[in-house]
Amino acid sequence: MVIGPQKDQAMSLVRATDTHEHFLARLDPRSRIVGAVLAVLASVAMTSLSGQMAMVVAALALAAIADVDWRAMLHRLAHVEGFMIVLLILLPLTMPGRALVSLGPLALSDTGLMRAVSIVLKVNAAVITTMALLATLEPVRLGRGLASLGVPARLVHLLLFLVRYQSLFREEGARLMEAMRARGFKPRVNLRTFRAYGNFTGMLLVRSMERAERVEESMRCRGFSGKFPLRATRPLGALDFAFSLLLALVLVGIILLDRIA
Amino acid sequence: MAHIPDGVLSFPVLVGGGALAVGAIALGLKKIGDEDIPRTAILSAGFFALSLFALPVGPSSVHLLLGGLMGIVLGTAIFPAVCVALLLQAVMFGFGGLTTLGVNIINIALPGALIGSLVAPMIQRATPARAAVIAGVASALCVALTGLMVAASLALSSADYMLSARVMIASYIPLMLIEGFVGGFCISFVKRVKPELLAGAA
Repeated sequence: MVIGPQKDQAMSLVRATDTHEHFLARLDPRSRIVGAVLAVLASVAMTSLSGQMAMVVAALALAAIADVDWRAMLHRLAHVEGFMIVLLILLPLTMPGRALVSLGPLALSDTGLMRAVSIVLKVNAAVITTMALLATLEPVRLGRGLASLGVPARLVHLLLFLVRYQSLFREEGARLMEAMRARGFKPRVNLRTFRAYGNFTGMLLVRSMERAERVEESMRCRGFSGKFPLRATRPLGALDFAFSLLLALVLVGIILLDRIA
Repeated sequence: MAHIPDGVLSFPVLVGGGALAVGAIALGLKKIGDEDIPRTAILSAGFFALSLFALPVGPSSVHLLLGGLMGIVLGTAIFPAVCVALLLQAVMFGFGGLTTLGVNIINIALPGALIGSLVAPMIQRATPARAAVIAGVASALCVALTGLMVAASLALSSADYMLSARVMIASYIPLMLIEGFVGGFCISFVKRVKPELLAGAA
């Protein structure tokens, strides 16, 4: 049973995907995971506007180093902001504070607006950091990194299977959808539409179950007893220490700036 | 809408959600036998793929949350399944976040685990038509609970989020109805085509 790297165009964010020349690719996945978590925690903990802006700048610098596809990143940031729209519109309108602009009963308060800006900065810093350090990491390496950081092997196996099979079921689902359209299915808001989606959902589940049974049998045939060897990790290299030290210095610097400002 | 990003919630809420999630995942992993790993994992991949489909409904489209269906099919294994799914989404697509992972897992998986394990035995014994009704109500209820929990996560983080939390709850109502119908029809289909799928709730 090989859980190989899954090349998925829709999922890859880096132009020069994990090429071995790139220094981020030569980092141990552990350095990248721990670095990303610390940097995201720091972005979330920022309390001042200057600290929040500094984190966004640092995140953008990381993204530049990681050589991300900026258009894909903008696309994703726009999507993230979609969730935030409610919060960003309502906060300036409902928080008490000095009115900046008032339109009849509606007033934009200064504290509310500041709050909205600070949320936008924090969310973006976190997303950009995650993309720079983790979206560019091949999921299989992510899994191995997590395993060597002490994440239970069963959870890592779940992740690796998910990576392996999700794109397969997405393709299968897309084919089912196409077949529905070919038979003249037009989505509306009625019971017939929901029944079609129910059947679609059920069919995809049945297919995954059947696939699961086949895979399970073939794995048993090969003597699977519940564990794969997760490849032993190499010791961290000089590059990992250099990267971690640099990142730590930048984060401590920004946190100091945040607390002083 | 159930994926709360990094940078919105307060630390106590993040820590609380994280701690709950760790416990729930440990419980779920314990229930999966070593030899059940491939089955649970591949079914989780199926659910994950389903959740990524934007289903057009009239002029708009929806993503299903699938909490109810996952609870019915996976039982408590829903916690580790949702954990890896949300981790992959946060890392690959930037939906949700790393610090909010625990809160998001609990918000989506807890209603599914509770209601799913409650109704799974009933669905096993019922006729396809009755199973559909039970699963439909369960699916809708899970969406409602997830909406309430997302709103509660916001409201507990800051009093300033109160109004946004209410708006958030209202925005879950259409999804609740749609997911109720789709979940019901889905279980009715599975019950007729492959009832074994419903037999092994861990």
